[in-house]
Amino acid sequence: MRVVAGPWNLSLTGAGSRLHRTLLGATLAIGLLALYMAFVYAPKEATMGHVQRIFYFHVGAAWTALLAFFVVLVGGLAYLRTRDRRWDALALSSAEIGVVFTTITLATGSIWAKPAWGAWWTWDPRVTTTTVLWLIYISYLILRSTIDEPERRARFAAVVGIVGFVDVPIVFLSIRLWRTIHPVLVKSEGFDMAPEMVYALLAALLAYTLLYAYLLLVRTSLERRRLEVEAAKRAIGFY
Amino acid sequence: MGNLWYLALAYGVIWVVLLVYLYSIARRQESLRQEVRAIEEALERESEAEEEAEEAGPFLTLVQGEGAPREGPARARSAGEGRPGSC
Repeated sequence: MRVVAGPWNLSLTGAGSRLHRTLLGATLAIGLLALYMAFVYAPKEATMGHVQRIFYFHVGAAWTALLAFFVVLVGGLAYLRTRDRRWDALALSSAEIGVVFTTITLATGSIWAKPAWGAWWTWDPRVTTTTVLWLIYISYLILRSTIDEPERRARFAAVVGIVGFVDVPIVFLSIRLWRTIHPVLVKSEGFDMAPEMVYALLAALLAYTLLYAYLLLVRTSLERRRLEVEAAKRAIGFY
Repeated sequence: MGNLWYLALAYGVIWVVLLVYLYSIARRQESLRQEVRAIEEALERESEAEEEAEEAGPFLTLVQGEGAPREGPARARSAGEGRPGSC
């Protein structure tokens, strides 16, 4: 029993590790820079005025959500291949963060739409496909909570995570495939905005990507510790 | 001015969503920590009970007399449990 009791002095999320601290510091620094660039450095947009500044963090959140769902795809594929539950932990963590960032995308988009389009919500192809994406990954999380058996839960979730990713390219291409009122920022000749706005956008994208990496590290560490605790409980018959 | 209200609302929503998510992670972390603590305490209690039983072993032999069968702590415990159906 002492052998089992020994290694329990866990730092639960490894929050004190050098990587955590470095990533948190970089996220805060780049985040502050991105806020400065969005609010001060970038010029006021001629037609929409200050409300256009929502766009920097709206696009950043959307980019991060798509990145997060790509990681869910990778985690799902790797789990099905290796049956290593650490991949499942990565996929779950990334799906959760992806849902958070999709929520931010939909909420900020809706707030921007009110002054820009005159309505809080329209069934525009980009908005609709993004809502479908949000619902797919919420279903992914709900599905996980309904299956008790860990292996089965991980296998089903991996399949849903992989199939759900089909919607990601549809979201990306929706403004090109269908008629839409959603702004198209990147055209064949480059960004359709002032250079200062492009720099502010790039800073926001970097800030969000770092925030995603930090959250993923924290959430995956927590999930892995939970798996370890579960395994230890099974080993010592603590139920 | 109306536009600024929408801007403030959007950034407020971003912060609220992120803070709620961070809070949920912190809560789950705390719950896991409590679970680990509960396991540690249970293991410690079990370990102490085993040590006490080991210490009580020679004393039990003395009380029961030299002729009595020598019972180790494990046997003493299992005898005390009294399985149903056994006589």
